[in-house]
Amino acid sequence: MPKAFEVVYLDPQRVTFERKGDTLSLTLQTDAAPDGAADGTTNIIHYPRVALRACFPVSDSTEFLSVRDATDEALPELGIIEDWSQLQSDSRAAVAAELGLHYFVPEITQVFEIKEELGFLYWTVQTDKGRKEFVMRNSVIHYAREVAPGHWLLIDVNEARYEIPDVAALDAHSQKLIQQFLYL
Amino acid sequence: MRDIEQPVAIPAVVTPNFAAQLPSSVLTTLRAEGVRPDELTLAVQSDLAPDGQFGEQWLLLNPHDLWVVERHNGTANLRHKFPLDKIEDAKVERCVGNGLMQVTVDQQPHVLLHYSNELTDRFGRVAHYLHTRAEYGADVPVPDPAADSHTCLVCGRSLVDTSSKVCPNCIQRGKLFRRLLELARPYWGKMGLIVILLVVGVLVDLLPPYLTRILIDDVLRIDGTAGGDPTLLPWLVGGLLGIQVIRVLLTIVTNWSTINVSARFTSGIRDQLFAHLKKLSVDYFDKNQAGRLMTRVNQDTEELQGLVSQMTTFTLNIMLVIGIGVVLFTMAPSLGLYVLIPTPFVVTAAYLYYRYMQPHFRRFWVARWRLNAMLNTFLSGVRVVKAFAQEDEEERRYHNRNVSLLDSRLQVDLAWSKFFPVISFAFSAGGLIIWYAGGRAVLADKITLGTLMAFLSYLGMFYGPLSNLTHVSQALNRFLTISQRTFELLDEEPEKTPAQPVRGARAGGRIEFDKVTFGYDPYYPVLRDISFTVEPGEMIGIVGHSGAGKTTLVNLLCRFYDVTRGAIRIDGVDLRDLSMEEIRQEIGIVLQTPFLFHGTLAENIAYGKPSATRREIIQAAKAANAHGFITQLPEGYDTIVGEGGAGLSGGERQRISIARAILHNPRILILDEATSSVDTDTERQIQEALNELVKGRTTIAIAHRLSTLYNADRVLVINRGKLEEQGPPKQLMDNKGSFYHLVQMQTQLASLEGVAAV
Repeated sequence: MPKAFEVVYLDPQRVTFERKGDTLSLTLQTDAAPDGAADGTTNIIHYPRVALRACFPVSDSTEFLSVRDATDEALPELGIIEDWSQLQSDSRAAVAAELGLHYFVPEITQVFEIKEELGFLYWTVQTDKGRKEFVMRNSVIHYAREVAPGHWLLIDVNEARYEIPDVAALDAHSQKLIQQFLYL
Repeated sequence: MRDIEQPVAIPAVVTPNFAAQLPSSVLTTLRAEGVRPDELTLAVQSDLAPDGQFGEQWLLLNPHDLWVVERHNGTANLRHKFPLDKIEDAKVERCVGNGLMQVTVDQQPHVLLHYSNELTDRFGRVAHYLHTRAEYGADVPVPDPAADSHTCLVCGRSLVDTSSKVCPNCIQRGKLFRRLLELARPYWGKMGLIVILLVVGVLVDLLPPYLTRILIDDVLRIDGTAGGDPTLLPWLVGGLLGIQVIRVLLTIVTNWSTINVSARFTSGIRDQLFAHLKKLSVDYFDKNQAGRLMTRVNQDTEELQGLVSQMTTFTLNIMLVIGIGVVLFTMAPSLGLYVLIPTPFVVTAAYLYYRYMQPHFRRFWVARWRLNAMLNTFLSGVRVVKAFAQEDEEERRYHNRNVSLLDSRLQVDLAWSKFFPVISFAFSAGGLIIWYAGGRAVLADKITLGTLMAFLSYLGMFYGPLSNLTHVSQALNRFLTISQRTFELLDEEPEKTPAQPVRGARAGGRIEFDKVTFGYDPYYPVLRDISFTVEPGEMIGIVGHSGAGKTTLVNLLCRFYDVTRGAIRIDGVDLRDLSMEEIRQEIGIVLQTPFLFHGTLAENIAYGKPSATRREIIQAAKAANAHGFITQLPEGYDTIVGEGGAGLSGGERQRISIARAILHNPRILILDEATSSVDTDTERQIQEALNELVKGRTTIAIAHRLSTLYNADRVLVINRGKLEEQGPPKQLMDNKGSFYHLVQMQTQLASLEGVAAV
């Protein structure tokens, strides 16, 4: 049993993620026998449902992935995978799918229209996950955050998040609208 | 905007009759499963697809089974099927930007589907149904998924912003205005006076050019014809002087009354806002950041005041434009038409100007706000900055923000300097046209020179107001936005108070928690099925890990929040049937971080009982072990303390707040980790004060240091929102349960500290 302040790193070669429906399960191989003595035998533990939390979801979601036991409400951490692109391909696909669902943060690829009305901004946008309309309170200070230069995070009235990874990479019309309403 | 195709429109909730409303491909899939569509009891749609795109999934129920069907490109396929009787539990979980629903079948967790945040209520209700069905059986009524209905009260369309009741499309501008006027009712008389003053002002404004015309045509006779009347000269000049004086007086009176009305009006609104704010529940303050509320109460009302004044200017300008227009056309109809030639240019230029300038101004405000926020952070964290030697880094950050403020300021000025000459040009070009056309008319003797001069004077007064009027719609919009926000706050429902509060002399102070379940968000419970009773005069300790729900328990007892399910009773009366005053009267609380208000120590001690005599205040301070240090202070009980209680140590502040509770004299006392943030010696002093306080009262003490609970009658152990253990501390120790383990852990820690101290 690791101590509370110890970070456990999981070896990407020895973990297997599997997705059935929307449920992600984990099979973990450890060297140590249950009593803690390293006797060379492998010990296999299966977790029927695990949750994933990216340590740096905005700046780099492929690194430092925290794996948690989702059958326990406290979500105890089983360990951290430092670089999950090192996982075996099936596991990697399962992890990518799970992260895509947990962090549902559409990236805005085009802005069709922004309309201001009575203190709300009405956005019509194309995202990497489909076309979407959303409403944001017109308070740039509170609901639009520049997380890195040119990289914006918008939070709508339902606390849903939308990302613009690089404003300068958008088309001219979108940029103009964004500049006009986010006061870049 | 709304006519654009809506591939991910807010999904419908299908209510009976389901079959007719479900997509045919979903129905086909169901039939293939052998389900008759008319047996369905529930059908709810999610807007997310299993692959993490916006899409469509259906969760369907009939009396026996649950299905999840995905629909993509017109074909549907079955993703999950579970017999309802095998579902052992169901819950929703919060993810980032969406949520998920999980059921437990054969002790195995299964994630059914994800849905976007706007549908949380809907799926939360379904999960709650499945959860209660698993517990109480099939008789639990199927929920009405449409009950969440964050729909607009007017048009019935789904509300994108669930915090308001009516969608922005349906906010009737006229209605807003009427409400504003209603708010301004006390000032109607003064407003009428202002309008009269404005009309008189306009009439007075129109006079000077008219007199000039007489001066030129009938007195000076510049065209050389004889018959001028020199005796009129002093009268005309005198008249012009008189008009100027009247104009000055009128302006002073008008401005003064406008400012007076707008300032009083908005100060009245501020009072109303605060009066309403204090009635709102703690819940509201959790959901709305303090910063945003500050903006509502301070900035919005200030801007409102500016806008009210602006509206007066608009009214004046409208009257001027109309008045001058009428005069121009009656004086010389042919020349009047020439005035219209530059009008479109003036209007467009002014309109474009305001449109162009607005973002620049906004950008400047945002940059200024960011700079201020940065300075604020630096000043409040200056010790940390110095301790980590980050002064240079902070300077760099400040410099960067300062540069962006500078940039935005320059942009504003640049825009101004670009547009101002253009506008002036449009104005003067209009004048030149009149010089040309009017000059020809004078030469042809169609009009007199005096008429031309008067005309030019009027013209100078015409374009200014006209260009000002071009941003009337923008200002109006802003005005309505701010009014709407103000009303939104005023319309927020205040704390629920019972229509007929139960009153009566209840002795004791018996507390009963009856199967209390609660979540700050109802679908994510923090406390589950908590039941216990506290007898009058008993002292109860509550222990548990941080985040276990101890403070939540206290919040519920104070009725800062209402329970989601179950009931809390004091002497047999449901908390919800008591008036707030009565609850506050019954319950006194000493918090972990004492809060002192700005004022003297005496005022702070008497906060809950402003009528307290000095004798009572000293008595309370003495009992709270605070009298000693208070009298040592240079200003004694008259010492003024700031918001945080600057100048007093943590232990001293805590004893002041205990004195406050003693003077308040409640029958039920809550100590929320009252001694956790002080050193051992101070703790002993506070403990002495507390021992005085708890005498004869029902006491609930949340304690971090378990040693303080040895004289408690009973201890409750809360773990992850559930009551795990309860009993007298000694018995719990003998049982060697979770309390025993907590004590063990703390003893180990204490021995560690002891080693470190040596």
